Amino acid sequence: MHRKLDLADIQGNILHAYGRTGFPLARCILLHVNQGRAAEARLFLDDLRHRVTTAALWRSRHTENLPPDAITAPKPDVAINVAFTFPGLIALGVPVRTLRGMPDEFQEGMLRRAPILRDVHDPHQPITQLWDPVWVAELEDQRHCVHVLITLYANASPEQFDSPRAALDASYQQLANQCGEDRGMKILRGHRGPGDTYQDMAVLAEPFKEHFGFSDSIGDPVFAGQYADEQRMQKVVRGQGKLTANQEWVPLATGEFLLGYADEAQEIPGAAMPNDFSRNGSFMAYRKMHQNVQAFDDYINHKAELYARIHSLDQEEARETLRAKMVGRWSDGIPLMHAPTYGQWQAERAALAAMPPGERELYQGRMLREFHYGDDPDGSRCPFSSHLRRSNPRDMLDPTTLQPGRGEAKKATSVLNNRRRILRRGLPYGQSGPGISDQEEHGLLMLVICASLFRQFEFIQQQWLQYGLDFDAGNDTCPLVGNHDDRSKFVIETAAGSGKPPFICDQMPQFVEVRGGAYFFIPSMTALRLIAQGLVDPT
Amino acid sequence: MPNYDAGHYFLSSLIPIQAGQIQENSLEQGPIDQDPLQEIPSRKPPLRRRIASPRQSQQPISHLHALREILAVLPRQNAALDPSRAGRDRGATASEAATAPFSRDLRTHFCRLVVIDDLTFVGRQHQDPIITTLRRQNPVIPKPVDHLPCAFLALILEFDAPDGSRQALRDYLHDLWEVMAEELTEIFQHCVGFDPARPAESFLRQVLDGQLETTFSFNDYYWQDKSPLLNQWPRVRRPPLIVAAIAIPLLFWLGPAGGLRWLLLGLSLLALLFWCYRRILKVGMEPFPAAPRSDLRSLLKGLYLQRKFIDFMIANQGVSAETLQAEFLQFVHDHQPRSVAAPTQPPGSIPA
Repeated sequence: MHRKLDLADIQGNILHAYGRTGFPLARCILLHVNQGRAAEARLFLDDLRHRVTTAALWRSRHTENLPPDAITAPKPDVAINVAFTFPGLIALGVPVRTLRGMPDEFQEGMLRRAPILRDVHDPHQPITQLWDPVWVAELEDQRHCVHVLITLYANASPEQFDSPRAALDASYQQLANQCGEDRGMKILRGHRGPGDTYQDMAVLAEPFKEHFGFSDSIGDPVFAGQYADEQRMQKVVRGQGKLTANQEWVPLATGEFLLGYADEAQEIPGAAMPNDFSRNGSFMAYRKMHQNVQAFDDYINHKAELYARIHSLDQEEARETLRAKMVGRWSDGIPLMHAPTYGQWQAERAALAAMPPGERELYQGRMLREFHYGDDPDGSRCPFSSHLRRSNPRDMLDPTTLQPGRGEAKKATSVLNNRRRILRRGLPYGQSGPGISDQEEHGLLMLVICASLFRQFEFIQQQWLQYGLDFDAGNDTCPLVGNHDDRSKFVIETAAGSGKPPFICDQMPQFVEVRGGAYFFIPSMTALRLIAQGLVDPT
Repeated sequence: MPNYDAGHYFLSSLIPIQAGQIQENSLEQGPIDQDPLQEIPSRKPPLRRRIASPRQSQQPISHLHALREILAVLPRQNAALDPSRAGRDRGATASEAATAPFSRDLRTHFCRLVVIDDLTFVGRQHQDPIITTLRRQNPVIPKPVDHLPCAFLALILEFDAPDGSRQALRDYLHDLWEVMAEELTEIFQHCVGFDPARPAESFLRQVLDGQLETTFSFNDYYWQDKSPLLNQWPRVRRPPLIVAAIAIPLLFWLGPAGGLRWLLLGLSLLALLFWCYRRILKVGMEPFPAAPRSDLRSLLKGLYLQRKFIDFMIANQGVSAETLQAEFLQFVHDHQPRSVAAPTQPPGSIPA
C-alpha cells in the first residue's frame, strides 16, 4: 500500500521528462544572490514560486480515466522550475542547523568533487579552461558563485502557443527584468555558446536522438507513486522498475527519488531538518557534456574496417555493429539483448514496420525496455563494458547471473542495482553534423535527479562509468562517456565456440567532455515557500 | 594453523607504543652519510625529518605524534613508475626515500601499519532491572569501562613462507630488517622495547612478543575449492568404520552378556566418536596447499605478462595465421613467460 504522492507539492521536473511530453525547447539560467540583498532575493522567489510548475496532472489522454471531479491543471506555456546550490541556500539565509543536515557531496559541490568524478579528462588542462566560465568564475571571485538554477521549458503543442521560442524569450525576459546588480539576484554570465547569460537546449531535428545519432532517453526508473493511473503503471514498470526473485517488475521505492520517503533500504534516510523542508524535494546533478561527434564518427569508420575484415562483414554492417556494441543499443534504440546481430536488427525493423500502429507501440515499448542480462552471461550479445550495461546493469551484478551452467541465471534479481538508479532529464544542445567541427558547441545537457547524489549519481559515474571492476573490465572506462588515455580499450566479447576472437577497440579519443555543472537541491513547493519567506525553522 | 595458509604467512602483531613525550633532538640519529668527498663521515638527519618536516621542533613531541607522522609520509608505492602520481605523495619528493620500503623485499604481498588508540566506548552495558534489583545492585552506578593500557601499533603482514614455523617468521623479519632498517628504526623506536644499541634484535623481539594468532586470514590465491578436510574425508571416515564393523559383532558374539555388553558397546562408541573428533580437528588444522605460482615474484610476472599480452592481442588483430605464429614466437622470446626473474613488473607500483 502506497500513500498517494502530493503531486501539487512536488516540482514537475522530478516526475516529468518535459522534453518527451511536448516541451522541445528549454533554457537554463544561473543566478547569484547579491551580497546583502537576501531579503530582496527572497521577495523575487516569493513572486516566482506561484509560477513554478508542479507535478499536478495536466489534462491529457492519460487523465481521461480519472473521475470527472478530479482536479487537473492546464498544460503551461512555459514550465518553470527552480533549484539551489548549497552556497545559494546559505546566501538566502537558510539556518545553519538546517544546512548541516545536507549531504556532504551537496555541500562540497560538483566543482570540488571533479577529481572524484574524474571530470577533468585531460590532466594537462586546468578545470578553469575545460569548464564554461560561468561554473568556475567563483574560484576567482565569490560574487560569481552559482546560487540558483531556473529552468524554462517551452510548450510546443499547437493549441497552446504558436511559437515556443517566443514564449521562452518572453519568459526569460520577464525574469531578466527582475534581476540585476542592484536587485536581489543577478543573472550570471559565462555560458559558452550562443547565449552568454543562459544555456539553451532543444530536441534535435530528428526527435529524441542525441548528437552521436542514437535514440536517447528510452528508459527511466519507475517508482511507487509516480503514476496515479494503475494501468499505466503496470505498463511502464516492466523493464524500468526493479526485478524481483519471481522475475516480476515492480516499482522502485519512492525514497530513491524523493526525500522524506522510505527508500530501497526500507527506511526513511536522514535529511535536512525540518521534515517539511526536505520532504518531496530531491537533488539534481547538472552536467554539460560536450560531444566530439567528428572524432566519434572518424574513430568508428576507422575501426570498422578492421572489424569488417575479421568478422567478414561489409563496411556499413561493421560500422553499425561497432556503434551498437559500444552503446548496447542499435541507433534506433533496439537493444542488443533483443537483436544481437545486424541481420536480426534489420529483421526486427522490418517486422515492426509491418505491424499495425497500436500493436507496434505496445510491442516496441516492451521490446525496448524489458530485457535482462541473465540471458547473456558471457557478454557475447551486449558487451559487459557497453554504455547501457554499465549505466544500468539490471540483474547482471547478481552473483547467480554470471555463473553459466548453474541454471540459476533466470532467478537473478536487480537488488544490487536498485540503489543506483537515476532519473534522467535534459536535452541536447547545439548543432552537429557534416562540416561542423568538434570545436563548436554541441552535446547533451544531462540533468540527473536522485535522492542521494553520493550513492546514486556519483557511484554510477565513478565506479561504473570511469572504472570497470564490476564488469570484469579492469581499469577500462565506459567506451562512450568515460575518460580515455592511450591505454584505454573496449573489449567486444564473442561467444565461446564462435571461432572468432574478442575484438578490442584501442586508442580511443575522448568522445565526451564535461564542460561544467553543479549539484542542486530541488525543493518542494512547501520548502520553496519556507525559503522565500525566510521561515525555515529547524527547531 | 591459521597463521599460515596456502604458502603465505599471515602475521598479526600488536606492539605497545611508548607513552609520553620526547625531545626531538634526542631521537635516534639517521644513518652515516657515505659521501666519499667528505673527509669525516657525518650523520644524515632522521628519515622523518628528511621526508616530512625538515625543521626540528623545539617543543617536546609525543611518541604517538612522531610515529603517526612517519607513517603518514612513508611512501606507499614507487612513484617514479607512475608519472601521473608523482608529487601527489609528499614522500615522493625526496628522491632518496621515494621507494616504498616494503617493496624492497620480494616476498611481501601486503603490509598494513595501524595505530590503535583505545577501545571504542559504545555506551553503558544493558542491565536487566529485575536481576539488578534481586542482586541489590544500584543501577545508577555505571559498570567499569574497559580501556587499553596504552596505544598499540598493529603490524599486519602477508608474505611468502615455506611453512608456518617460528623460524620462517624469524627469517623473514631478519630479511626485512636487512632492506629497510632505517624505516623500521624510525617506526619502532617509538614502541616499547626498542633498544638503540641492538636495534635488529630488539625489533625482532618486539614483533615476536606482540604476535597474535591470525584467526581470519585473507588469501586471494586458493586453487582447490575443497578444504583439505573434505579432500581427506575418506581417510578420516574409513578407520572408525572398519573398527566399528569388527568390534560391534565381536562384542555381541564373544563379549559378556546382559547390561555389561551394552555398557561396553556404549563406551567403545564414545571412544570412536572422540577419536573421530580429534582426527577431524587435526586434519582441519592442516593448511591449504600453496597454489602454483602464487608467490609474489610469480604474481608480478603474471601481471606483467597480462599487460603485455593485451598489447600483443591488440597489435595482432586480424593478421594471418602465419604472422600470428611468428609474432607469438617473438612475444615468447621478448617476454620469457617461463622466467620469473625478468622481464617482469617491478614491485610496489600500480601501473595504469
